[in-house]
Amino acid sequence: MHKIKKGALYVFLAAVSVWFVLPILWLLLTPFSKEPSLGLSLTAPTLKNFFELSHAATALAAFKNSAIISVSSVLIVVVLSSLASYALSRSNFPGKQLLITLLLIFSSVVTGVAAMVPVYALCQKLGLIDSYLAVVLVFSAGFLPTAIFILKDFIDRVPRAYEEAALVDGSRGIDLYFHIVFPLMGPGLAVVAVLCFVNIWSNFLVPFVLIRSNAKIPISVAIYQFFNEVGLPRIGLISAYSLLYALPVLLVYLWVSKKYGFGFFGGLKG
Amino acid sequence: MSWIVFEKVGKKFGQKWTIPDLSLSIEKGEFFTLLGPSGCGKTTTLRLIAGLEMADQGKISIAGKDVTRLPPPARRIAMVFQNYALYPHMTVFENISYPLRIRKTAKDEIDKRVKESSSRLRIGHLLERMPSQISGGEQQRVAVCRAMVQEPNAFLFDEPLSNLDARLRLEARRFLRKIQKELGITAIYVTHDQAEAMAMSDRVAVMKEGRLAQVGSPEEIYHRPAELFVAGFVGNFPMNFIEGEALAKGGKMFFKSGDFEIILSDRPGIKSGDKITLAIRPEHIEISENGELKGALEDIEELGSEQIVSISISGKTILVRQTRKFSAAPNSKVSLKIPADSLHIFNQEGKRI
Repeated sequence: MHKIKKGALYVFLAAVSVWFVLPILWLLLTPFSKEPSLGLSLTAPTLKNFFELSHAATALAAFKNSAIISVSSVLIVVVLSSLASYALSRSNFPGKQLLITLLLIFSSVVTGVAAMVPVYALCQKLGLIDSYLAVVLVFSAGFLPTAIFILKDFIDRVPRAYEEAALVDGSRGIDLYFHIVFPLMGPGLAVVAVLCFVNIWSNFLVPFVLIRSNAKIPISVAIYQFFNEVGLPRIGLISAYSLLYALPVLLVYLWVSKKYGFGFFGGLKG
Repeated sequence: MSWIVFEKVGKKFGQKWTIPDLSLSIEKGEFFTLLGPSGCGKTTTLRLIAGLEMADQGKISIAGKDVTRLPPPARRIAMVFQNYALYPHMTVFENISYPLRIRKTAKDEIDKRVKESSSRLRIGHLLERMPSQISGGEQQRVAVCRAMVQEPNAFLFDEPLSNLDARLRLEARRFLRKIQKELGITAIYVTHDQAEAMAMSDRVAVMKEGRLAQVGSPEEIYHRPAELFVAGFVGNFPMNFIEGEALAKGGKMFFKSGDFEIILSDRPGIKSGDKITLAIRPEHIEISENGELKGALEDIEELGSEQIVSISISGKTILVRQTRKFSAAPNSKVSLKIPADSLHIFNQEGKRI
């Protein structure tokens, strides 16, 4: 009985892992396949798909566009959220708790589907349709509340003694912030940066709605163009493009995990 | 003019005055200790000097300058924190040099001073390490070094030895005092450890509930405690306290508590019938054959170099601490001699008479 149970468990777990591993295998194998399809097929590896992709001008420009949009949004979010969360963590004012609760509630609204019509209307009024700025602003606004919320919690746990030591040592104002507070926030900022980068990099809806011209679309939208004349998807191109699309995200994860080990809280020794 | 002066300083947190009214002066070059149980306001006092707390009333001056409203960076003091607060993202060298770098000291001057101080504290070989890569004792030295390089108006120490193990603590105690005396910089030291306070200080301020119970040299505090609280707090072994009353008999003043009776040397301010408390340090009582107090032996605790003998006198247990070897069977008769000048007498308010 016991053995049967155990055997059943193994079968179940094997099925689950196949379920998860298959798409990843597809992503790794199909771009190098001679006859790419939605199934898994092993052929002699070829770079044909990548070669074909290198002729798609829009697809290549999309990398640059994605980079511009993601990096500038992440920079804005990191700088502003670190300042705001530090202030929220270290100061007390009436209504602070309410403000934090509101932040949390609104955190996912701006980039959500429900807000797309008003966001579009707003951008149109501001004359920002079909500009990077529109996308960057929407993303920054959308991710700031979550970022502030995460970072505030992080800074709450950083002992004040470091800042007090720096004050006594003669540091103040912006020096104190950049020499001591900002570096101490490092691991928290890394978490926030990765979270935002991955989400913005993969977001389809916002740039799809706000950007009109092909020259400015990011990868998530560009990938939508790989169909032949009769509307059939060109699997080879899509898979090769998807692999390239996934790489930056993987690299960012690896880099952060190497630098900070995703150990969240450092704290004082002793 | 004293170096650091508190004039009627008050500090409140919320509605509660942690420090109601504190006046204090500390001399230049002095090793001054704030001693007291937790919550007595000693750390708040230190933070008031540092500027990490702002006084709600009164005036604080350092080196003849009114600093009451000045923020910490303008006060030019150096502080060693209980947990050292070494910046975790900076190397030991960067930590030590930070106060100099932030004050725009010339680079060769920084190198020179860091080199000098770090070799003096025997941490010269650690300069390239991160704080997390060195031991607690070394971290403590780095924190002291960061204070030393600054040539500050004063050193502030907030229980800097409490995170070290017992043996390191004894060593650090001597070395801190030595460094302070060599540099001649005023030091204000906060601790709840009376032995530490006694061993290191030129003067000790014993604090209780935000006020000064007594300020004086370690000898004064030990030999002439001004309050019952100070008597109980200072000393390695708890004092013997006996509550009773004064009694005039045959032209002499006696202390009486049940059958316990002892003659008091002439002290003005005691009237027959006054309720008083007698305090005697265990190390000042002698077991002697011709002693005037008779009791029965309860127990002997051997502590190696010394022993604690507990003796029952008319139902009260008196502790005697002595280095002389003494042994006797339990319940055997013992007589004690108490020198009249080691009797401390306190009135009902706990003040010394």
